[in-house]
Amino acid sequence: MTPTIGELELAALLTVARLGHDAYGASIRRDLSARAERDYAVGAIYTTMQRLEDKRLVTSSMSEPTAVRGGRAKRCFRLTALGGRVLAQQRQMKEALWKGVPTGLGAT
Amino acid sequence: MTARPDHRPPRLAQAFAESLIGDADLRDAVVGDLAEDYARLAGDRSPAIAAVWYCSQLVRSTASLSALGLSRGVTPWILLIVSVVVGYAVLAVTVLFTDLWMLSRFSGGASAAWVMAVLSLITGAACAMLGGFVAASIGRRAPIASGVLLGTVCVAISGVIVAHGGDGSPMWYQIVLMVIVGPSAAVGALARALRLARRHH
Repeated sequence: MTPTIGELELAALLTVARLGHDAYGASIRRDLSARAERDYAVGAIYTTMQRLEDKRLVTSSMSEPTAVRGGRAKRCFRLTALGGRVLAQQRQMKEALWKGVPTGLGAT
Repeated sequence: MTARPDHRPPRLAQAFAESLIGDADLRDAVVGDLAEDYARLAGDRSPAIAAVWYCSQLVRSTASLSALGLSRGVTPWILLIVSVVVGYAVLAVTVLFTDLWMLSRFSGGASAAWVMAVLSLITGAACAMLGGFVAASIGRRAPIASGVLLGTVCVAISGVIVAHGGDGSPMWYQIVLMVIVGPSAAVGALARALRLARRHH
């Protein structure tokens, strides 16, 4: 059985899929913030990523430290096979829900 | 993108960020992410705007990052409870001994009672700091959370005593004690957390 995920979890999972090998805390936060047009708190991002990891939808590993980060390592995230399946399922469900809805809805 | 290594976040704010999380890997990742985004923002806009952004991120993330440090397994939660119990015991015992010592030194007269009350407030705050320091030492996964919880417990107990007519000492004394004991415990925990973070770094 595939786990259920919330809105922010789905958005974060999509971001990890989009960023590929460049998915780590700061890049996920920046990408999500830019797309959603709101400044997400770093705590909210890490809490969400922890939930995704607990559900086995992503895995994480620490990278080498870099100077621009004050000599600190990155926590990199990778999509798992289960995470990929959940994304495909979510897309299928959203497309099914949108079927039959008139185009131009909400346009002024 | 103009992130440069010479753009460093404000020291105090970064020290606070380091003190929030007990888990070394998580702390490295979060503090590094904040430093990276600070450097970008300072380069693109200005260090002042970046500093405001950095502090707002800390304010908005304090509770969630503290909770995240505790979320892995049952042990951190047990440690949190033990840390508060031990911290409170340390506070209670030290307050008892300092008050007994002061009672033996100051006796008789209204002025002596007033001086003793003020001294008792000062030593009470110091004892609360010590309690917070001890609590943060035990609850290392989330040292700030340990201190804040201890402070909250102290304020709640003081509040119950005041609501039930007090413990016989002047009401102003009990109210001032109730106000200072919580922040004092948190300051003690912060001092310990900063030392722990410095050692790990």
